[in-house]
Amino acid sequence: MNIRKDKSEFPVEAHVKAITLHNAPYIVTVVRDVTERHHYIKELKQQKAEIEQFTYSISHDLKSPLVTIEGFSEILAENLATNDLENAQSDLRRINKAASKMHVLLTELLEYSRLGITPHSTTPTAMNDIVEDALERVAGQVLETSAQITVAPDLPTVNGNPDPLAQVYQNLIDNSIKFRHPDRPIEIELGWDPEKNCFFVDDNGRGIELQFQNKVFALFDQLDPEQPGSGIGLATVKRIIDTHEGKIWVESPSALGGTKISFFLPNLLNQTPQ
Amino acid sequence: MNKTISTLSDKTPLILLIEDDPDHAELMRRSLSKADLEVELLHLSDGNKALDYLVNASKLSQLPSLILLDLTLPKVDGWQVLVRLKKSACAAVPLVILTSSANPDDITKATQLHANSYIAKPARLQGYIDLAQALCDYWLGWNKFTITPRPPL
Repeated sequence: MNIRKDKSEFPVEAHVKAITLHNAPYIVTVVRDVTERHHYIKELKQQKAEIEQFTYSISHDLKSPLVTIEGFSEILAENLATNDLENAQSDLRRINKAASKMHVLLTELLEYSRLGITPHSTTPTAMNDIVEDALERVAGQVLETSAQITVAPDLPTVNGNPDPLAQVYQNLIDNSIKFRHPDRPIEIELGWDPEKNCFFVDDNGRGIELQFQNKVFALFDQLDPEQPGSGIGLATVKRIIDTHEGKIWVESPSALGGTKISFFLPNLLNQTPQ
Repeated sequence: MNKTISTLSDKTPLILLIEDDPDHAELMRRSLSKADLEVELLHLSDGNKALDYLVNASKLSQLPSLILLDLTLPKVDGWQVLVRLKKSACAAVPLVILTSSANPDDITKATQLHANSYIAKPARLQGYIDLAQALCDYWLGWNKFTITPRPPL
């Protein structure tokens, strides 16, 4: 460690060598400020820890359907050997469901992992165009469920990557439909809050209890395992917002009585009050 | 006053399985049955339900003989269940973490939080059957194997 003029400490690396010059012995000392190197080492260690945690999460969630597939394949073989076709069919259904879950997991995991390595090319784009793209992607579900979606007409223009940002809206709308209230026709509002400077997706679905709101963006965390999905959707959304150096959170209360997710993006190019 | 934990001497022992995957719960149920182990298996699919059940069971002095706890549970996860149980009247009930993850950090954390054991879920049915037998042997005191003490040197 060395000390700056302002008395703050900083790490140094020193090389000392004895040399002879014109028959006279000298000691040469090179002292180098390695603050930046230490910073990168710390960052790398943090990334390594994150990757390790990510790997364990993946292995856990991929292993789970495998346990079902391997276990019930053996039970299936036994049931077939005794000609118990009714139970054999039930075993097959479990195996099939677990295999489908694994397929969804792998597909979404691949998409999630690509987010981190895709070059972050930003371009000025009207958020309404991004929303339009997202609505095209979910058109089938919207039609099937007769979901009513309202879009604010004058969302700000953002300096971002349009395709992942459309995926943000796609995943959020997908969740609003998936976690709809059983007794209400689906209503979703895509808007802009000029006071908080943030975009939002609000719905009249089942909502998320306050105590669980900080869990929803974690990878593989599903509040309701009976629902289809992998627990990657909102983690993907968060990662996209993170790559844009933005912030995302669950807003309380929701104006429509369900779940309201808000997100902030820096570098807005115009900000038209609604 | 300490509550008396119901033991297996007077009735069929109860194993509480806290597990959100119904297929894994079914594998455990079938494994206990295949191993001819006379135990009752109660399966609860989330942490909240399990905590509510155990509070009531504790009041009635009808605690399970063994708790098998998965870590990835919806809403209240296995870690929170573990912490709360080990601070409750159920602290003396043996609690075994049974999960798909073999993360060394999780194993250390489980030990620090006073879990009695940590077992990674087996991949095959026979593994489950062996596990069911081993759990009953050790935690329910059904060990059929006796160790002959070495003669003194």
